[in-house]
Amino acid sequence: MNPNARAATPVLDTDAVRHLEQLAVLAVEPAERAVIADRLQAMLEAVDALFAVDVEGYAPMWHPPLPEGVALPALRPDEPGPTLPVAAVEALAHDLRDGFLAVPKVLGP
Amino acid sequence: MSTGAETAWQVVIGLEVHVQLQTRSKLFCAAPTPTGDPALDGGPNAQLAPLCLGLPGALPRLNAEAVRLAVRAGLALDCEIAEVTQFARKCYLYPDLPKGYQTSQAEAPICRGGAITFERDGQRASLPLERIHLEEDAGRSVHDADPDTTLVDLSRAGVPLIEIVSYPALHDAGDAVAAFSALRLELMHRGICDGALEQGSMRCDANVSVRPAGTTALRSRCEIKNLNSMRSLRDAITAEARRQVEVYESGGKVAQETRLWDAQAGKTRPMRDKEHAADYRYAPDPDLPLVRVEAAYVAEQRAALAESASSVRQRFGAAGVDPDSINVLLEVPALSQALLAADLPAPLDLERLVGFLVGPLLGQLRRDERDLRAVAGMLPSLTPIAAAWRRGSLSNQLLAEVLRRGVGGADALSGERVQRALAEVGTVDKDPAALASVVGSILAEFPTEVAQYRAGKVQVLGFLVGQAMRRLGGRADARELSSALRQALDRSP
Repeated sequence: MNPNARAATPVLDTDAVRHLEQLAVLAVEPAERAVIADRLQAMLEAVDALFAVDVEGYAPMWHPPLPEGVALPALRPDEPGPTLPVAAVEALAHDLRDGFLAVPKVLGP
Repeated sequence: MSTGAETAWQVVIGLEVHVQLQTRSKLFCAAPTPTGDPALDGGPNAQLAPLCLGLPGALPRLNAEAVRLAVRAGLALDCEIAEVTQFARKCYLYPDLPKGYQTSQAEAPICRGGAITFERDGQRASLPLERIHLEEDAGRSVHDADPDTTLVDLSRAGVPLIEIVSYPALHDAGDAVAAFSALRLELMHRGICDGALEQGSMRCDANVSVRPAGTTALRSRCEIKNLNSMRSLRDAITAEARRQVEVYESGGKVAQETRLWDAQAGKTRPMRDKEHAADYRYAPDPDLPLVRVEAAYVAEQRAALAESASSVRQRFGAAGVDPDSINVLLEVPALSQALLAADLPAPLDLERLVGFLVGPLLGQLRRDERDLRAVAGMLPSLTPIAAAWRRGSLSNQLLAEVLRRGVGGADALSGERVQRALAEVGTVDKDPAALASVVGSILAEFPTEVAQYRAGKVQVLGFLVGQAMRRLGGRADARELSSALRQALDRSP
C-alpha cells in the first residue's frame, strides 16, 4: 500500500472560499467565488495525483531537479531595479507614524 | 577572571558578527540597498520591492555579487568554501520581516572553518571560526519612540549579510575587542564591508558564559545582541560575566537567553529566551535552487582579492611610518592602497607623504567633516603639494592656505581645485636679500624683545619669527627665517 495515500480530496465550495477570504483578509466579488472554488479544487486534485505516486525508496527533494546546483554566472546581476511607490506600501499598513509602520510593542521595557 | 571569592572563574566568549555586504541591490530581489542617509533613501519604507514585503507571488532571485563577496570573505579568513551551498527558511515571527521567516543558511553554509587573526600587546592570536553563512537582514525597529508601539522601517529588510560565527574560544573581553577590530579592518580592506559601525554595517553579538577556572564543560550562555562599538563590546562582556558569576555564587542558575546591553545602566538586561536550533524550524527553501561554487570561480576570486589589512600595516611599518599614522590610514583602505601604489616624486618618500596626509590634510578634511576616502582619488594632485611642503617651498602658513582653498569647505574635492589653490597661493620666497631686509626691520622695530633675547630670554625668538613671517605674508621657510634671525641677534649690537 502506498504510504502517502490519504483520505479523499475535500470538496471546496463557495462557503469554503468565503472562509479563506476572511483568513487571508481578501476582498472577492461574490460572482468570482465559484470560479475560485473550481480552480482551488483543481489544485487539490493535482496535489492528490502527486500523492498517489509511489515514492518508496526516493529521498525527499526540496529543489528543482538540478542536483549539482546553479553555477554562479547564472545568478541575478547586482543591478538595482524599481521600488514600490511609498503610497502603495503605506496602503498596506494598519497604522503609520511619520512614514514608519506602527505595530504593537514587540519588546518589553 | 576572579571575583576575589573562593572560586576563580573563567569567562568564555564566542562572537557572531553580522556584516552588511557592499552590494547595490538586495540579496534576493532588485530593490536598492539603502544608503543609511534618510534624504537619499527617500525616508522610511521607500526601498522596497514585493519580495521585501512577502507579497503573494514574489519569488527570490539570488544576487551574484553577494555570493562573490561572501566567497571573498571566506578566502580572506582562510575558510573552506562549499562546493554546493543551499538556502533555508528560518522561522522568524517579528514585524521587521513580513515573510514570517528569514532566508538564511543552515546545513550547507557557504564557508566553514577559518579564523580571525589578531594582535594584542604585540602577541599574535587567532579566533577559530565555525562558519560563515549568507542571509538577509531584517527591517529596522524603533522601540523607544512610543510606550505602546514599535515603529518599523522595512527598507533594510533583504539587505545582504554574512554572519561570521566563531567558536567560544576567547577568555578575555580585550581579546574579543581585538578580534572584532581586526575582522573589521580585514573586511574593509578586502572590499567586503564599509566597516561603518555607527551605521550598523557590522553588528557584533557576544555569546558569554562563565565556568570555574580549570574546568572544561561549557555552562549556559547568554547572547548579548547588537554591540556596535568596541567599547560596548568590551563593557557588555565584562558586565555580563560579572553578573553570571554573581548568580552562581549566590546559588542561582544562569538562564540561557538573549540580552541587550544598557550602556547607561552599565549592565545587560533580558530581551527574550535564547532560541535553540529547534525553535528556528529551519527548512530548505524550495524557491531557491542549490548554488554550485566551482573551483575555478574560487581560484578567480582568490587571485582578485585585495591586499589584507595586516599586510598593509606591515608595509607602512617597513617604510618607517609611525604606528599611530598607520592606524589612521588603515581606516581609509582606498587611501592606503593608493599610497602604497603611488609613484612618489623626490624628495618625498612614503613616510613623509604620510606625515603630510595624516597631519595637515586629514586635519582639514576632518574639520569639514569630509569623507576621507575622497583623498585617494586626489593623490596624484596632492603629492606635488606634499613634496613642496617637505622641500620647504610651502611654509605652514602657505600650506594651510592651500588646503583651505584646495580642500576646505563644502565644495567638491578635485585635483584641479587643489592645483589651482597651489598656483594662487604660490610658494616661499627664497630671495636672501628680501629675508635679510625683513630681519633687519624686525630687529629695529622690537628693541625690547631683542634686548631680552640678548639677555638670555631665548624663547623671545619665536615671537620675532612670527612677526617676521607675518611681514613676509607667510612666504618664508620657517627654519631659514629662524636661522637668519638668530644669526642677526647673536651678532654684537
